[in-house]
Amino acid sequence: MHTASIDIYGLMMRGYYFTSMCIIVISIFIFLWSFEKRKPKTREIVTLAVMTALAVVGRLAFFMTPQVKPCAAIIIITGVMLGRQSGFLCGALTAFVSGFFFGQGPWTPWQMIAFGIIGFLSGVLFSKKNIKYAYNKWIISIYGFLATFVIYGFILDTATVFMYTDTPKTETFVATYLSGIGFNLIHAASTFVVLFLISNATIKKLERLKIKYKMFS
Amino acid sequence: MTDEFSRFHPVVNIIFYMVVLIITMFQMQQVMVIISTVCAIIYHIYLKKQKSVKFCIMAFFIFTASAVINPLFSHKGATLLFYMFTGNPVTLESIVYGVFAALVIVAMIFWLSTFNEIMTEDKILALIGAIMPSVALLLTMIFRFVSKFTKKIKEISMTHRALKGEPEGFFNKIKSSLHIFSITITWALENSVDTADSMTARGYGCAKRTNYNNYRIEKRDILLSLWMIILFGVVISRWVAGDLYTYYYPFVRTKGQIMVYVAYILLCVTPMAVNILEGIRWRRLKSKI
Amino acid sequence: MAQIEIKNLTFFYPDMEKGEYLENPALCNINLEIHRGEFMVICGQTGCGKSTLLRTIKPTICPNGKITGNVLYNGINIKDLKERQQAEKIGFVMQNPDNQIVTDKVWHELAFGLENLGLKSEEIRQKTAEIAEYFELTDLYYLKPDKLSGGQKQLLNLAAVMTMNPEILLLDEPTSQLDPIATEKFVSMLKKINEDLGVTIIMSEHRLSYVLDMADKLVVMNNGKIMEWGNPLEIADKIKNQKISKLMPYATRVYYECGKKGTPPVSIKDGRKWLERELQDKEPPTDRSDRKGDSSKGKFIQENHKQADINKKEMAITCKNLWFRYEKYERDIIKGLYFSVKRGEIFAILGGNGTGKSTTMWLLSGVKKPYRGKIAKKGKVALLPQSVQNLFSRDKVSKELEGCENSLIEEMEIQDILNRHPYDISEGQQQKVALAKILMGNPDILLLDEPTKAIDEVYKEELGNLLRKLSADGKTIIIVSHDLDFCGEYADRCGMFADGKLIAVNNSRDFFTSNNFYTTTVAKMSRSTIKGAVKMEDIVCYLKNV
Ligand SMILES: Nc1ncnc2c1ncn2[C@@H]1O[C@H](COP(=O)(O)OP(=O)(O)OP(=O)(O)O)[C@@H](O)[C@H]1O
Ligand SMILES: Nc1ncnc2c1ncn2[C@@H]1O[C@H](COP(=O)(O)OP(=O)(O)OP(=O)(O)O)[C@@H](O)[C@H]1O
Ligand SMILES: [Mg+2]
Ligand SMILES: [Mg+2]
Repeated sequence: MHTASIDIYGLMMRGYYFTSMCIIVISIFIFLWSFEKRKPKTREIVTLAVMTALAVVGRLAFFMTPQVKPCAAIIIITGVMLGRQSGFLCGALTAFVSGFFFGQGPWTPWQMIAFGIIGFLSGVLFSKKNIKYAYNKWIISIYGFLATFVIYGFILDTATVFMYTDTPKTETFVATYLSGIGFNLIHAASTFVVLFLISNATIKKLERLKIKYKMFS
Repeated sequence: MTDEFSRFHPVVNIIFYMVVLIITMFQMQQVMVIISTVCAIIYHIYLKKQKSVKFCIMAFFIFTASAVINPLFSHKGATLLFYMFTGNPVTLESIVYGVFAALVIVAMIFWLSTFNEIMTEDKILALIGAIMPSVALLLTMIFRFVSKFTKKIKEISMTHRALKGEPEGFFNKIKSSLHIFSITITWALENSVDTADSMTARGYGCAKRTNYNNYRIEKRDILLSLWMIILFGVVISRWVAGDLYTYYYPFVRTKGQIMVYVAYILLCVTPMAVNILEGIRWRRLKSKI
Repeated sequence: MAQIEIKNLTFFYPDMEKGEYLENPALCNINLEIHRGEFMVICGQTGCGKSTLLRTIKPTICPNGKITGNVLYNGINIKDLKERQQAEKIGFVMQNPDNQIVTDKVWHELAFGLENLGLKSEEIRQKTAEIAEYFELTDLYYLKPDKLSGGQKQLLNLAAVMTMNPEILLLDEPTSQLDPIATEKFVSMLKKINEDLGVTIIMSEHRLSYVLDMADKLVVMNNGKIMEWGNPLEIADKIKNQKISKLMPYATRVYYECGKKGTPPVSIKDGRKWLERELQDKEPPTDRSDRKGDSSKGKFIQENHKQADINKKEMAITCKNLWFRYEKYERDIIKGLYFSVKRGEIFAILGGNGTGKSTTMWLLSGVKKPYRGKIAKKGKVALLPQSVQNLFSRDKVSKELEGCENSLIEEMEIQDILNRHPYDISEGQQQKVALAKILMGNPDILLLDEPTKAIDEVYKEELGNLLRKLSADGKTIIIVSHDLDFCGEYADRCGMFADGKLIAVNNSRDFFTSNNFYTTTVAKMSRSTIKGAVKMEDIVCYLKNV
């Protein structure tokens, strides 16, 4: 039973939802703000814009096989090559901009934070001294599989629980995650495949730009 | 688009959506939920005309699908209706909660769809640009690239099919899609260098950047903002004072006030009202001429 | 004092593989002077270093590489100029209209440079409005750049640079992607800027016919070196016997081909006057109606033989009543298209921007299907797309051309760039590599979508000869082109694309003589004097026989 004093504001039932939304909004804002303060260089901002746009429209290239969505793969590569902050922005903005073309919904902020975290994490894991592991396509593809399956799946399923049910219970979470497994597996597998087949070549292309145009130095 | 509300300053538009979405998202009081849903649907139909029908059908499916989730998992509530095949009880309260949570989702979807129509990219960018110019520029470029790449991907896939023919089988399709995607990546990255040069050539990064937009605040913008903020204030103050609440468990119990309902209705129909008033004003102007 | 002075400039590109610099410099010992308010045109074969030279004048966008020598701006080293001054004083317009557009609205693009300089909103509002008016962009102010035609995009790029009121304008082949009418509009805008505002203009260009009559100075480059520079007319005279003289405008070339000496005509107008003077009170040689029998009367006759040969051959492509649109609810792009091409024929499709020429090519290649009508094809079809970069998927030219015969590579003169990345070569070279890649499949029917864009006249002639050779081997060639002179020279038949169909399909001579605006330079020049002349050799032949 809930105590009346809290419930009066109607927030108890939406409490988790409310708190998580606040956290999401604030963390996205912090990243945007730090990007703003850093005064990004021309070539960096252009490359980030290109990668994000590629993540948004990538699925058009796979119109023959709509199960395959390359967003997460591109976001991961961006995180690896341009650093964790850009990785986060690439992820968050991919979800935000996709909303303009494929429809915004209550899930947009959750997608933003989920993709953002994936990008951020790849920037952290494959930081300057670990970057050699990113060239191993097994390692990066498995990371991509896990990141999409665990992080993206977990966050969006949690969002479902918060949005649709009254008070989150372990049982509800478990049931939601289980019912989401099929979808998440396909998503994770497609990230794996895309990373496995194009990550090396794409990293090389970005490396090439770095040399050719003295980028980011 | 003939919508008058969208001709107000973007700040006015964003204030409207912020206050309405905040209340919609967190207020589960039944009357409030219904008000929001109905107003959202009406405004959506007004904006999108026939296109709205398809959307309504889709929303109905989302509604039914999400309404059943809660009673499946939540067995709280005092009014037992029946037992599921799993042996779990289903209660009236959990069904009611499920229905209203689903309505909230539906209302959000409708509001956000009108948001997409009203808050064009230009407006979003003007708003973000006022606080964070670099982020706004980044977004502008993303929007530009998205439409550019969309076209390019279509072109490249046509070229590819002209050269190699139509792929057969799932794996060949994936292979050929990946090929198309990787040509697009190369093309996009290499050509972005021109864009970067064009930016540098026009002085990007050599001084503190300002943000220019075509919007200017007028008196009517201030008035409308005040109107919406006052209505929001009424709703929030009653909410905080405890005159607006609902329990779903163990029994559904609700409290509300006519004043709050009226204020909320007025708030939600503001865009429609602006349109209707403008229509009347025009007719009067015309009859005078 | 000269406004820009280039002294002993040498430039090496980096070698991506070895991490050193390439052995051959892209620019070698360049010395140049440009004065305030001058209009300077740089020409030269593709890959000779024009783009590189222009970029060294604006250090912020100079490519990565080793540079020696100096560029002085009003006597100070240009590298010491503050970034802000560089941005304000020197404007730059590049070749590709699309890539330079940064934002996604016309008005925002105009404001972009001023935002960077940190100007106040009111000031920006005033300047963008003024510029939009001057460049006739006001109606397009709120549009997305995607909605503009290539010519409008390039005007927008020029306008966006001009908002900052530069003293010097650098243009790198700004018109190479535009159709003839858009080119003329763009160039006349440049002239206006040069004359009204006194802006110094330095521009690289392949098609000198459009610009040479307003140029004060001409620079001819070859292999990274300056061959000649100075007064255009004097240079034209000096280089008249070299290979590079093909870069000159048609009027000038015809003049020297006829063996004349002295100051040549440059513009069409001068060319016409010269012909009128030349042919005053002279009898026309023989009447054109008796072309058939006698074979000693010039070359028109041989061509007719070819036409007669072709007429006997089988059909290679037949299109009957094609209808096509991209989306179900969009307008029709192709509306009842009929035409047929015989084996061994070179067929040219001309027409304005956005009329559906490329769409027709996609239909012919079989990638897109018409929703009504039939296409019958005999043989393997290959398509060279309008943007050749769509074809490049590997990181080396040699990998791109795997399995290609050496003779073809040599014929195309691309053996030197086999080790480069396909994006590390100049646009003209990319065009060649793409064509080689298409020819590798040994197709029977070749569809070429604007094969002559961004390439120079010397190579254009080689391409023309290559096409002739291929057609003699029995290959059918369909070209889409904005290059009227090229089509006049090499096509057997031409058709005008308008309103979703081909109209006025005819053999090229009759096609071009019956058109008033859409016709070759030679035809425009000789309209009042020689009836039916379309190619350069027509005039040469005619003058020899009078
Ligand atoms: N990034 C690069 N790395 C190595 N070589 C390059 C690079 N870019 C250009 N080159 C070479 O430098 C030479 C000069 O190139 P540049 O682009 O200046 O030619 P251009 O005269 O502008 O040609 P076009 O008329 O085709 O545009 C060419 O031989 C080209 O292959
Ligand atoms: N993929 C597409 N989807 C929808 N419309 C298209 C597509 N491609 C082209 N169009 C439209 O079809 C029309 C004809 O285009 P097309 O590219 O065939 O013109 P074009 O004659 O080749 O022009 P240009 O001389 O500029 O190359 C244009 O109005 C264009 O906007
Ligand atoms: Mg060039
Ligand atoms: Mg075309």
